[in-house]
Amino acid sequence: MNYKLGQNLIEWSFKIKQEYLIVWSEVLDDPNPIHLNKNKVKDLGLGNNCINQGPANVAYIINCISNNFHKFELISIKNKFKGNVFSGDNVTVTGLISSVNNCDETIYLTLDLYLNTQNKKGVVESTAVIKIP
Amino acid sequence: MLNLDAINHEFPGGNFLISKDINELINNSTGMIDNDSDVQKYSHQIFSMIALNSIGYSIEDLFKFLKYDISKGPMLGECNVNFFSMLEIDKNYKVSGKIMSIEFKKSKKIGEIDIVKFNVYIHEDDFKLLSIEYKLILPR
Repeated sequence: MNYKLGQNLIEWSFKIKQEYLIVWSEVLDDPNPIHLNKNKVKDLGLGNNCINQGPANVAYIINCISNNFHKFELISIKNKFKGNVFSGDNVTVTGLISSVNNCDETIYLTLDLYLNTQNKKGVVESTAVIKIP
Repeated sequence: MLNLDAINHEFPGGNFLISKDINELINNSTGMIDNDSDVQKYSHQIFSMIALNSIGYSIEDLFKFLKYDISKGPMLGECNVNFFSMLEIDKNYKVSGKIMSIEFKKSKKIGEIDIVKFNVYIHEDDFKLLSIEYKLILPR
């Protein structure tokens, strides 16, 4: 398969439900009230609904990679959290191939990825390096 | 005031096992569809970050150790993961980590903040499989 610089990835989308935030709080053993109590989020001036966990946001970005490359190995992923995803948001992940390297017949791709909500683009900005076997 | 003695503190560490059930729970809660047999052998890569629950402190304990009131709403600023191997389902791993630094900054958006950087490592025996660098933002 040919990979081109600047090639867009197939967009990935998902709707965030409060029940997922509860799962993540339990799995992470994270009692931070911003994930469970929307009044606390309002008190802090951070928004009007519960804030999704950061690792869940990164999971969506990884899911977009998985959806685009069915056989790949994730080498690294760097994530900057620029804003919040809220319970009830519709998120999309968009991205493109920013570098292609062929080393000993193995292809390494660098991907620039963005997690967007219906209200804000680039809530999370990620750079991932993947190996295509 | 945060506990500045926390800098260079090594976490007690712990063990980490990803069951098939918890992997499916995470897949379902993030919209991941796994029809691939390899995917069923390996966990979702986000378990690299979920291993934070196995550093030997709960997240609540970590903030207590830092002398930070979790009700102020700490946030994740950055997280960088380096994978040297994929994590398998039903395999036991060791988790360790260390607090690297604490910085004070003024944010235009949320005012005075402390930034805590810490690293988490996932091992199998003596072999390091993953390293994860976290940057937490703690509003004052």
